[in-house]
Amino acid sequence: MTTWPCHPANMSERIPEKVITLVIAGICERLKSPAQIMEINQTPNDDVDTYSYEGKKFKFFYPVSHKMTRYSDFCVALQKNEKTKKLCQNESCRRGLKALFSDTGDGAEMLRCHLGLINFAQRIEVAGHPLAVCSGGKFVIHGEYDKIRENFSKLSKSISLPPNEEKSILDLVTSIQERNETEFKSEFENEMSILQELTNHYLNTNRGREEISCRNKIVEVMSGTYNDPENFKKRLEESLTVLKEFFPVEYWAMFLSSQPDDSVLPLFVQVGFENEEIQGVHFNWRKAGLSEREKNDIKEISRGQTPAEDFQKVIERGFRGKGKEKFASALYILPITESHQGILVAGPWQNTSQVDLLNSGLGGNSFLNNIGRFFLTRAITQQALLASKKKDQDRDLMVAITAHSIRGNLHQLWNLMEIVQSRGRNPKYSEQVDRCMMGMEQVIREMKGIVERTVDDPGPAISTKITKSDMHWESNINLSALINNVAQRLNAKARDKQIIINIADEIEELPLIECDPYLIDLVFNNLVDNAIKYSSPDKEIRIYRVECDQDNVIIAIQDYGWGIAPEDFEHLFELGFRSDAPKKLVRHGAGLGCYQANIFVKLHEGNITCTSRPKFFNAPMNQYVVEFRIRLPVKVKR
Amino acid sequence: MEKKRILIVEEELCKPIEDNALLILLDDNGIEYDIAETGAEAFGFLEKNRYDMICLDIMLEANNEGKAPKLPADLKRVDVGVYILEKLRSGAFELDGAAKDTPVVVVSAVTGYERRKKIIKLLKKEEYYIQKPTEPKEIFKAIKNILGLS
Repeated sequence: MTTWPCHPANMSERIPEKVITLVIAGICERLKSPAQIMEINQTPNDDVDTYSYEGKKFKFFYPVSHKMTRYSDFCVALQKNEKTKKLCQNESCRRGLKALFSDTGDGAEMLRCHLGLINFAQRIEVAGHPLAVCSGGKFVIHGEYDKIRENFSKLSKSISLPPNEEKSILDLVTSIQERNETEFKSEFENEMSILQELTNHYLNTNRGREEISCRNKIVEVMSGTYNDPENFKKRLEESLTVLKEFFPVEYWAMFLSSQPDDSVLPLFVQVGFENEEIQGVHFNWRKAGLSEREKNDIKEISRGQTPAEDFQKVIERGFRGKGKEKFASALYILPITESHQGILVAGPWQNTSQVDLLNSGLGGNSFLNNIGRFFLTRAITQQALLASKKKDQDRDLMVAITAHSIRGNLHQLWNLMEIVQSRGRNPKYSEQVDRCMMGMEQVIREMKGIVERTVDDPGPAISTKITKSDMHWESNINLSALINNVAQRLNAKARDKQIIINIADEIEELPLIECDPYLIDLVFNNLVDNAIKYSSPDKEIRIYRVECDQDNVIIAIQDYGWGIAPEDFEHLFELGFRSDAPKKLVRHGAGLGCYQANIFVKLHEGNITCTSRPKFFNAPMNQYVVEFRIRLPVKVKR
Repeated sequence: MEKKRILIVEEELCKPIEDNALLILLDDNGIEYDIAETGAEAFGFLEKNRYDMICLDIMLEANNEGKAPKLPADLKRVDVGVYILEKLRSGAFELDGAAKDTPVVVVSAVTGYERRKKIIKLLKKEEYYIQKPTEPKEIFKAIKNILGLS
């Protein structure tokens, strides 16, 4: 009896396999093209989906597509059993495997199968596993249909195909979309990059464990009730709630087994769902023993033409009709969204023919594996897309803020330069000219700071992307010297406002720490710079040691001037945030300083806190004491 | 000849005020001016005076700290200039103050496409949108052209 692969007892610990299958199915959907992955097979027992090459076994992961089973005749790298091996598999498999073994991984390598269909293969690495991803085979270069037909005709002469099979393959070729090769390659490479990032992210965030946990919960909910239809339905609904908590997506298919040796037939028919591969599910289900009338009813439903309340009746008719003996129980309609419903069929198989049913009608175990994962893939790819969009938005915002600040500074520079040019030679204006030249120097310094923080170094520049592995760690960094350097560098700016930067004596006695000195320098630079900006003139900025032990050191930067309003605290470390009140003082700031400082300190597993208190009771906003405290570990766990 | 008078709405002027090349040029050419550094200050001037033209920045503070707000408190900085321009063109100040068809030159570092399109529609002439950074001389040239000065 075929066991349900998604039962926790059957799930392997090799998370990458599940995740990759998930993601590649999503890629197929987006690229509108089949895609396959090759990996060295770790479980040689499963012979159905493996391919032997030079003495090694390689495993394939299939995407969602019932058409893949028919495509197998000429699709890249799909291995059937010895009896039905056909056409160009050897040639294409070799090319696909070449991608797998390729060390360069520079980009997608174009492959042509014997028929002339275009594929791309690219090697990527996910969690240390090399994978070759092959995609395509579903499009032709413009004008090559005739050539493909000619190739097919030649090949099919050496292989005996049933006439209807030959025709159906040719029809399939004809229905393949014409695509631009360069565009597709670019899309494919982009998808590979997403695949890598998504999968690694997924693995890094232990998503696989969430998935197992989710399934465990569902199994627990469903346990022992499948013989009791009333409770079963209720439990199915409960299970859907569990699933939604983990994976908030629009479409669902759910697969359950309450016993390890249960077989479950997962099917999904959705009202109004257009994707032809999902319609393929419906078509395959028709082979599960429904009458013509019921099949047509379902077909109509899936085009969104049957009201939801009739849906149940039609399906139950089918359930009660032919094929019922194959299901012990449970054909239920579950509302998923307002406009979509899903059908779940679950329960143990009653006879031994289910393997045939699955293999012949539904593409085998792989199909079962993939249909459910397809929807989970949508969840992951949708979430990743959203996260990716947010990153892009953050990056765009940072660029926009920086550009605006630089424009403002350049405008000031031009203004001051014009005065110097027009009055520079007139001694009457020497004081003004001196002042303007100092102003120019200050503006240039300001711009230099902005540029250094946001443009030069791609790591800290787009600091939303920097990770611990990007950092340049050094041991025994003299934090005292670093702070003193920052203070010295900003002294001229402080002097312009008659501000004194006072470094307390105990700063000289700080421990040596492990850190990325460039980033920590930026942290102190940004915070002291902010202190100067928001400080009232003729005041003092104090830098002192709050606390120091063998594990941590806490430094405070205190200034006296514009305070931070209570409602601004929660936004203090957000990108682009600048407190409303003192904007008149802060002409050239870009809202990046606190944001960056916070990220860099967090990367060191430290933190920044801030307090703002009035100097005296009811003091106005410009008479506040503001203090930033930076906690840095002496040693960081990496 | 009657002296020309303009309103400059700009929050990023250099201090001291004499370190602004544009103002020096205006002084040297006998053009009088008022300076508004916030939207509220601009409203204050526009409500009471007629101007021969207005030189307007887009991004500035709406209201003055500690004073009763004249502009909506939730108005974003980047929308203040547009708000002033819209009010001007609607004739909000017409009764005792600035005429609704007072020529306006916008001088701004803001580059957002939609916002710029909106502003140019209100200005009626694309050349009256001057993108920062730019030389003060260029702004002065635009002012002279509008005022009809040689």
